[in-house]
Amino acid sequence: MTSLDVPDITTPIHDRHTGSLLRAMLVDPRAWAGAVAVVAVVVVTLLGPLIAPTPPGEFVARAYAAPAPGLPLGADNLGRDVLSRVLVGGGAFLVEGLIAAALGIGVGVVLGMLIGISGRRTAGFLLFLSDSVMVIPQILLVLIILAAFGANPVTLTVSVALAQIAYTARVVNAATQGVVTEDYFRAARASGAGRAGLLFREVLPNIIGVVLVEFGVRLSVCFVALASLSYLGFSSGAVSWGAMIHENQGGITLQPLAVFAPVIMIAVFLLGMNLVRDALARAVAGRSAR
Amino acid sequence: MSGRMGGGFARDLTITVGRHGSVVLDGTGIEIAPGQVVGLAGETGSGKSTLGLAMLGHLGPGLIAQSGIAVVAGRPILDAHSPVDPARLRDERGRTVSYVPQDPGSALNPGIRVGVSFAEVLRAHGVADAEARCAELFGAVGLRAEGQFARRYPHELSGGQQQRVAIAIAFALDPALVVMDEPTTGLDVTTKHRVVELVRRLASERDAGVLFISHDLQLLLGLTDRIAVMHGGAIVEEGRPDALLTSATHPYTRKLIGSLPSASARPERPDLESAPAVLEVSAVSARHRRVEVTHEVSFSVPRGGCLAIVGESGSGKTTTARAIAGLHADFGGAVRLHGVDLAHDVSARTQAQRRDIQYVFQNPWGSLNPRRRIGASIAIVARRLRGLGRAEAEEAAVRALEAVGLRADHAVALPQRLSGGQRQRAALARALVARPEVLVCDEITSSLDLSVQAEVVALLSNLQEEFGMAMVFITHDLALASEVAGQTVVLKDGFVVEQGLTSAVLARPSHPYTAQLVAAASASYRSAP
Repeated sequence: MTSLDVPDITTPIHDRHTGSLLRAMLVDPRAWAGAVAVVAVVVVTLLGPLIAPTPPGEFVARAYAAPAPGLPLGADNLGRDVLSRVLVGGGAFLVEGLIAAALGIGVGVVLGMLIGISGRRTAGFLLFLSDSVMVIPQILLVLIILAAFGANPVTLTVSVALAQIAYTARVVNAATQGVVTEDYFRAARASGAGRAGLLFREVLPNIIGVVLVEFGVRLSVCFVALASLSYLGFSSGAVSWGAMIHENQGGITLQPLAVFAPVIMIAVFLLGMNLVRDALARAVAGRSAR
Repeated sequence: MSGRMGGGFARDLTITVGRHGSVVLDGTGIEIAPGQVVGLAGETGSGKSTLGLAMLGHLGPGLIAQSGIAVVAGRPILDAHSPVDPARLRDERGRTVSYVPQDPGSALNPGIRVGVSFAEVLRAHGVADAEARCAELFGAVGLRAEGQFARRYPHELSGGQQQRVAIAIAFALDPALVVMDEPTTGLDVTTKHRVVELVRRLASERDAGVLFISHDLQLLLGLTDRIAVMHGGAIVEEGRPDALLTSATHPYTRKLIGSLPSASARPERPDLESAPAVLEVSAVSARHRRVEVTHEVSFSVPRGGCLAIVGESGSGKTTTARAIAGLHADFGGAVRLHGVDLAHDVSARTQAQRRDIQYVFQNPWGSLNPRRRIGASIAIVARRLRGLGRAEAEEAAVRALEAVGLRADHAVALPQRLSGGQRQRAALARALVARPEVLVCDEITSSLDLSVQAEVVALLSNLQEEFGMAMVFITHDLALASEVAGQTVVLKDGFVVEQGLTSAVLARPSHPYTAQLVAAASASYRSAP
């Protein structure tokens, strides 16, 4: 054998990619910005009830009072302290949104991958079913479920999650198609890999970028859905960012902060989550590009 | 020279990545006289495409010309010291120097009829009478110019026809120099042969210089007037094809020549060919969406023997191979292993049956999971098919890597860290770790450089002997088949047109198609005037 036979014979191959996901994210300023935003909102939500200046239900001023000393964000439609309500109203809202997104994504990803690897006839039938669900407007679908079972934290979360499944499954199915036509997928089938092996060892690692992007999208959609539902009067807790938007919309010209304060909190959280998610997607892509 | 200055040359070209980066071209030069076809051979990454593009005055992104000059038709088109005016460059491209890319499918705009594509080039250079030119050149490349042909879209043409259109466009304005970058790579043997003939004829008829870039030395030997061999960014050897064959001095050139497949059958082993059949393929008619693509294909492979399936693209070779491996389940007929009928779909076969038939895919870029380390991809097969524990499987993976000429530390690499040849070795290791009875190799060398291809073929023959496997070797290259296989089956349009001992098929082809293949294999090897 001459030196041409196996190129690169002297360069040892290092195990370079262990831990590089975290490392790649640590040097990414956008990941930091996103993490700071998310952590800030979460800290406010966790500590808020402890540091709220007044109980969220207490009347402290006249309705839609403008910000004043001792009342930094003004008062809401019933003369309650907006700051206190923002500090208290995040917990349930964030938890419901996150669980709904995680649940919807989780089921949608597995379903989408299953459709992707099943035979043409089964896949056609399942896609027809999911398309039939998709033609019903999401909010209508949720309202039907809530009307049937009543609005409580569980039905809210589950119904919002259910509304995401068909969309996620569609996207994940399309991404899965790109994997099942690859030879490494055929190789895995030929080596007798079971269904779980195919899904979680061959497909999922190769579509993780798509799943992450989809998670970001679905997270935003879930929060918007929850906020819209609060706006329509379906909300689980008495104090919630979503409900605040609904309650104070009548006074948006008099006291805009009563609406904008919860909106800003939701927006900062979603932007932060999306920055972190993008950084993660970049790190994953960079790992396989190396 | 007839009236105009034809051809082109490059001198002292040094091109680097960035100002201080690695050297792509190392002070090299080349000369192409009018009417001559000059071949540029070399492996992937040797700088041959960079040199070809430099003849068009084009530098890839991030590349910088440090020194040297490229001249076409007497005018500089790339000059390291005084930049060429972009407007003039635009006018020169297409008029005096033109380009035929590797993949004609992506070079032609899919939304535009090919006749319009052709006319656009003429219009860009202010030539009015596009229709007559189109008729003339489409005729010259053997396409029907009149009527419907020019009105077709690229997707309505075969790969060979697309490449002819691209060549017609390149010759449209009687350029002094045409640069062709691997223009025949995607074509099957017979089409390749016709395109090569066409290039020769056009070059001498139209008095244009042609720089023909290819890693296929065999092809260049038959086509060109001169061959330049590139290695590591410099031309290391240059000469007439026959001179190069007999008296090459540079070790890389000699290695290239040494790895040419020769159309002589390997020593026959009659003991093998009469051994009991391990694999039988019996009247397999495979379907793609109800369309039958193979028609009652039958053959058997003796224990430890090797059978080649030869045919051009679309002949049903891969489909037959996949039916054997259970990856294409929609077929009639039977595949038998040790006389036992196998289920059509691989998921319905027993674990032992899956282990006994292993498949190596054509494209090493797609056959390894890009998110999993090489070692894990191999070990997972050992665990599934041989029931080994985690530690044993990892050990088996390392041994398999070593058996195919890789090292233990390749196990921790992700596939993208390896070259094409290394990946194909890794894919081979994954198949070997199962200790199969039958190894199905689907064009496993077609995406590799010639010298790497020779290594992989040699490796395969050794491994086959060492492990006592039977092998089904699929290829479009009859010469290659003769190196590895004792028996050959020739497929055409899904029919078996020839079947028997490889030596007999080569020496006395009974079907006209086989005769054509044999002729093409030896013609492209040695047909320079």
